Amino acid sequence: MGKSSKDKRDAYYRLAKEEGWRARSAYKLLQLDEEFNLFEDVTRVVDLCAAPGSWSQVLSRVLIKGEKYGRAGWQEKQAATRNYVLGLKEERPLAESLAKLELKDEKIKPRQGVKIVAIDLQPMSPLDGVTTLRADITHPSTIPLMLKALDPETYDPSAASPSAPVDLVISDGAPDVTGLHDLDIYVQSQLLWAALNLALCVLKPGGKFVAKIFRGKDVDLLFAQLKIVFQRVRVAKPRSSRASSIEAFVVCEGFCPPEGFSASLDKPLNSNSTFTSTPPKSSSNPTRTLRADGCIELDLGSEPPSDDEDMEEGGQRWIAPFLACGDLSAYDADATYQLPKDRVSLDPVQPPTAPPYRRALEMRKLAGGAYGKTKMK
Amino acid sequence: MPPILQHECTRVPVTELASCGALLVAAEGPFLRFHHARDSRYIASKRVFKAQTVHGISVYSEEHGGVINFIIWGGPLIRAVQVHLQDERLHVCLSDVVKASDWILDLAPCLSSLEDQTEYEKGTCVAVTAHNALLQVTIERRDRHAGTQNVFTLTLSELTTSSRSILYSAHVFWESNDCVLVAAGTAFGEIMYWSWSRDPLTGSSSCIHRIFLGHEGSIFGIRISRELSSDCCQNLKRIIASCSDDRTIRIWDVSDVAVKASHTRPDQITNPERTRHTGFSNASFDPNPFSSSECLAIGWGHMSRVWTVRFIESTLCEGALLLLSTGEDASSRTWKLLVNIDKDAALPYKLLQQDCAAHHSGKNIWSSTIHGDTIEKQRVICGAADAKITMHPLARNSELAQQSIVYEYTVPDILSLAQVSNALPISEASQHTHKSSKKAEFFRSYCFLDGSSFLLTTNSGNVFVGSTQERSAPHASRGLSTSVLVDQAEDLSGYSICTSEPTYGVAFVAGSKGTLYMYFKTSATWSKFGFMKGKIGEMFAAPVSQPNDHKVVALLITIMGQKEAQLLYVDIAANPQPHIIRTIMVPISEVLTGSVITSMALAVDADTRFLYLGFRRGSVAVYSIAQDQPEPSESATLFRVMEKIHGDETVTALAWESSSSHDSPGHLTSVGRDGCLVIHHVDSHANSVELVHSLTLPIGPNLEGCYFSQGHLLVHGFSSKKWVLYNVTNEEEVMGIETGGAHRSWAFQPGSISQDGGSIVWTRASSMHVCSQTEPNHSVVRPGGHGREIKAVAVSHGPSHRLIATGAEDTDIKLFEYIDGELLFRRTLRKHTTGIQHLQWSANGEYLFSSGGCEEFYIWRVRQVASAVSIGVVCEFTYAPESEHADARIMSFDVTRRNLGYDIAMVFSDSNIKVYRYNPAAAVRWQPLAKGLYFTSCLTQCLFVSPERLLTVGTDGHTAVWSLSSEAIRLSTDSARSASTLSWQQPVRIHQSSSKSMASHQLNDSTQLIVSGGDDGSLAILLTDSTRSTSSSEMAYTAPPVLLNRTHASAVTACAIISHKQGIYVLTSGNDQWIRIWEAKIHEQGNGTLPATSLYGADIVSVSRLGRVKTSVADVSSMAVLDAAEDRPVARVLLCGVGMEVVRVEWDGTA
Repeated sequence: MGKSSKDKRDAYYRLAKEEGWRARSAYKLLQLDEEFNLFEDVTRVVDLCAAPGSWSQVLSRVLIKGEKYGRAGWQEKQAATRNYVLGLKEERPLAESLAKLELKDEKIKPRQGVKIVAIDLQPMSPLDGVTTLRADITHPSTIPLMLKALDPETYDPSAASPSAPVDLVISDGAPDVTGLHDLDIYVQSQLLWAALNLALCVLKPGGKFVAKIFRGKDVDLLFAQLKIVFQRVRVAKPRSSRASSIEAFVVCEGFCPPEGFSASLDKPLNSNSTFTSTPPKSSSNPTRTLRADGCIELDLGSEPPSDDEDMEEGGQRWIAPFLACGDLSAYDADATYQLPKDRVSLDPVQPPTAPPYRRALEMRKLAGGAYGKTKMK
Repeated sequence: MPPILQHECTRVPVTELASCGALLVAAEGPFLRFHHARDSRYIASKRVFKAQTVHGISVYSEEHGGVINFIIWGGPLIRAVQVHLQDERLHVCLSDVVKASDWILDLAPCLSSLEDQTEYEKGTCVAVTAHNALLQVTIERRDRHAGTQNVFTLTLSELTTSSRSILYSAHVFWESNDCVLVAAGTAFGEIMYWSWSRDPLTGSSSCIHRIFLGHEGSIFGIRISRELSSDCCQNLKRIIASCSDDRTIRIWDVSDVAVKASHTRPDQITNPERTRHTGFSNASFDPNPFSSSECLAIGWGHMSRVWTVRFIESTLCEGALLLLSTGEDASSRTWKLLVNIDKDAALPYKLLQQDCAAHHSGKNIWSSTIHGDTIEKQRVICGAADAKITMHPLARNSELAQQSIVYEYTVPDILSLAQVSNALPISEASQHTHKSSKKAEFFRSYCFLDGSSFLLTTNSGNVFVGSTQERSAPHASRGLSTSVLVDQAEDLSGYSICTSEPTYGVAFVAGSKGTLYMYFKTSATWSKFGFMKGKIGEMFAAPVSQPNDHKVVALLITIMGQKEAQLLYVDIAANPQPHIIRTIMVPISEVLTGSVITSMALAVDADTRFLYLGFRRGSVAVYSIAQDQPEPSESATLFRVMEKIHGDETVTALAWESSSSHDSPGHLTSVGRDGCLVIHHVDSHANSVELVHSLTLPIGPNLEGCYFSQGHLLVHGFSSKKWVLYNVTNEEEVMGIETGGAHRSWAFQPGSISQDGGSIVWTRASSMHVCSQTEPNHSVVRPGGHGREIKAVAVSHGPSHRLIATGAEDTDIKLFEYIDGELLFRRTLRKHTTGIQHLQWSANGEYLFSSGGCEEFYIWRVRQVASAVSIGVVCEFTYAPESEHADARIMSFDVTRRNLGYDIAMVFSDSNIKVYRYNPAAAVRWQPLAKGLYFTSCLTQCLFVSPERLLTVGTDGHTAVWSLSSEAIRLSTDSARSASTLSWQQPVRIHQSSSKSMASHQLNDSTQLIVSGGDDGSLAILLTDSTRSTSSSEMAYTAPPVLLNRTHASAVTACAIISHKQGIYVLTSGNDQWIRIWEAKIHEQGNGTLPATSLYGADIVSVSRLGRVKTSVADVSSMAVLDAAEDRPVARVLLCGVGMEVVRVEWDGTA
């Protein structure tokens, strides 16, 4: 797909380039924040699987530079860009109207004591106020590295737990999917468990954890596990995430480690060695409510496990409540937009990292023939 | 009892294959399927896990008497299986399932348990997990007579602990009874080679020997070779093969690793890279990337990711090792490891690709195995994401790769061959003239006399008959064994053409002077039998059935510059000379058809013969000939012209099929250089011609011939580089020969034994090439379906025939039938260039409507055809995109019958809704009726709730109702009428975000039940009244919309409604791979729990949960009711996604 047609097909891809985000996924975090107010009273954040860094970029702009992406400002900005993109007549050019919006947020207040650590296996370009680490989040040696990055002055390698725990752990990590679905779901769940294990080590009580999750097979087992260590677990899909993808984000609030639980990356939890404490009976009763618009909302309550379950993976299953986030006036990641004819397609803020098959493409090009058709990025 | 859901037929990707003695075992989801290894006949299938897909099969002991023991694994689960094949019946005995602490990547039984009979009662295996831990699996057999259940017990113990980083692949290998070698490939492209060893004195220990860096992506497959013999492959003792995301296969040398020695001293391996960071190595960030000095060779060839690589065990080494790889590009390739002779080469060895087999559709060959008792008979079996299993011979070197060796001959070769075996003496003079001739000597034309001999002419006028030798070996190809010089005719010098009628073994040759020659193979006679006035342009031959035993061939001849062709009836076996018994003049109309005839077919009616002629300009002309009433000046009558049936391209071949019932009507099959296969139903008495089938074939565009064989239709032709013989009936390639493109001089003759081969001869670079094949290039163990995920399904409920149409991401639409518990593939419809979005049948099953991206929308006429094709498909209508760039997707549409036509409402990804009328019988077939625009969000669903009202849902989760004005829907003959404008009303928020699936059901004359499955995991239930007025004031809904939350842990991507004995049941499914069944009850009055609202009235819908079952189909996209008669005890639904699954609903719950 060419740059221009991708612009039309993917409103957020285009918008990210226009607003200087490293990747369209920045909007996912912004829209999650709109719904859940994630950054409220947050100063210490760990961003896992951070590359190319768009989530850290959001953290940097919101927490360090103090830029506001509040709901009102967001909507105005949306309306302005949308009118611009739809080619609607507007008196002011976009930059001007956006600049005006920026001016409105004149009370830019950088927060005090902000610490952001971004970790990824891949190297990542530096960001203002963000400490980046190239590390494997599943590796036990990563924790001391991370703790040291959080508190370079006061870090005490002998201390078992960090001196000042973290308010928020976020992870937008996903494996390259193979197409072998159960393997992909397994690898994604391993990434989630890895992020959770790390979060268990550094999160302060009441802290939040946000991670990408595949709403695929056995995701209800994962939900049930998360429900044990967090007071509130919801699954959210920002409108900037395509409806056609099984990607969603689990938003866990109110970290409450079970009594006597001590986290460690040496003995990480995973899908096969779960929390030993029995999950709180999340059984709920059926409800039938009349919504203000006259629709009736039903919830049949928790599902009783049937005697002859047709599966091997036992254990508590629970369906987390779903929340779509991002205002309806925001762009639709699935829609096709008609763009003005004279529109100039921008280059991405950060070119994609070289794919692993880059050399294979070069080899093919050398071989010529049909191979020569292959486009080089 | 609530209804019970049962899996009835599952077609999902084949994830593992194993050749176990007399059995071929394939894993398809949680099922094992057993086939005879010998002839790949299906025996039985067994569900070995409940919901877990089987990922691995390993034989751990094989004993006599048809009992095979193996162990299977999938995810973290392990199970032992014993099968006993006795008199075609298979007895399967299973152990309990044990669960490991982690996902298992590989498992290997200990060598001793294979041989030692006393070990039979106990087996030991080791398994390696996705976190590089080694587990021991002990299989113990209880007393045979203790009971019938669970004769095995499995116990697991951990030998080494896990590492942190995740592996994508691993291989375990027993070096000895006490030592296990492990090669592990990480997600970050690292290879770890380590071993575990146990010592009775010092206990067990593990040791990392090597870490290899070099792959630029995750490692998906890895194998350790067995110990290589000393005289083999230079001095290599042991090597590792790996394949990766980076499209390469790499070979690593571990010959110098002394496994035993390293365990006796402390671990000395340090990982210097670990001290720097724990992430990826990246060349652009790490200035000194690790040298990959141990890398022996790199193989490039796969077009995308490589999933598996394995060593091919063979005793014949010939100084080279063979490997087999499979990949995402749906190809399997064989490789040879050779010493790199080039001294300057960077790597000491090279991997040369020997063969590439691609007989699967779409993407991803996940599994492969080698089967064969002897090296000559080794075959590669592949299983792919298309659920198909294929088998092809293992190519040991690249020349044998195509089973058919191509033999090459020059004109002198043929001459010298003729001298050796010649019956006629070749005069010195003739040889002399050849050498001194000013004309270049080259091959002119070829035609086959039968399956093994052919006639050829050369530019100097020589006529040879060559024959190929038969060899006993099944795959051996045949070169030219003899060549006989038949004649050296002066009047064939400089120009000659030939044609043949292989059923009689007769060939006709003609040149520029007009002399007609005939060669009759039975008597090996060559004779002149006629003269024409002028240069012969084209000749076509066809047998003429005769009441007596006379062998008569109809020979159509065109003479250059003449407006008439001549049809000669030649009595070929007449004594003493063949002679022309009848001459019919065939007038050619330059205006109607053009003058160049390119193909011919003869059809016989009760008293009339019909001559079908195909022309270069794409048309076919039908002539009638009086039956057996020879007159002195006979002439054929132009009866009809079928215009431009192949557009402007050459009609290259025609074939006539009479209907079996009576003689008159039949089917005319034609192929052309437009790449299309076209079939017409022709009834000459009624003078009717109807197009019943027209589809583009995947082998074109230069289709050159077609014929019927054993009830199958075969087509052959040239693609860019290859000549391909293709079986249209089962859509499999039979032969594929590299010819270097299309050629002018060539001939093909199907094999006489079966439809599965034949011989082709062609001229390329002035030499003659001969190639023949007696078997197809691959065989199909199990037919498959789509090679990519299915996005839409629709089942026709017409009066006669139930057809399933599926549309997938691979842009194909496929038709299936469900018969006796099997989904039988029938036909592929290729025309879309984007993934299919939606499919729908007309109520009578005659029309299939399909939509995709780039504003593609097609209307297909589908019917039964009494022909080898059986289902005829014609694309009757192609929608012309209206937007400037045609880049929106047609997300969904609905079709409703109106009078003689259909009203079609479509919704687009750019928020447009458009309504059209299609009337196949009208002069103006396609008319716009109305259009409207929602906001900017993508609309995903569209439904007629009455003939005048539409309901849509978009990614914003809101329904909207659109009313068609009476003006808009009035029948109109005015072609210029413009579409009226639609506007939406009555928005209801039924989901938080997109509606992913929708189904509707007519409850009675007025009330329709609509369910919508949302991305938010909820199910919305709506009741609409079709009799309500379309005025904006009147609500379309008759009850408050009911929104059922948390029905699935994922998006609800498929739903269906079934009614049974007054009950209404809703089936739903989603990416969480659950299928759930719900009962929806519509009460007469409000059920009292909630007050009636002014807007919608009483709350009358209640829902209850009835049951659930897991499905093996991932990425479920759609569901359709297969059969659901009110009075039957069962109903069936078909679920589609990555694969297909038929689920049976048993109503009384006790069946």
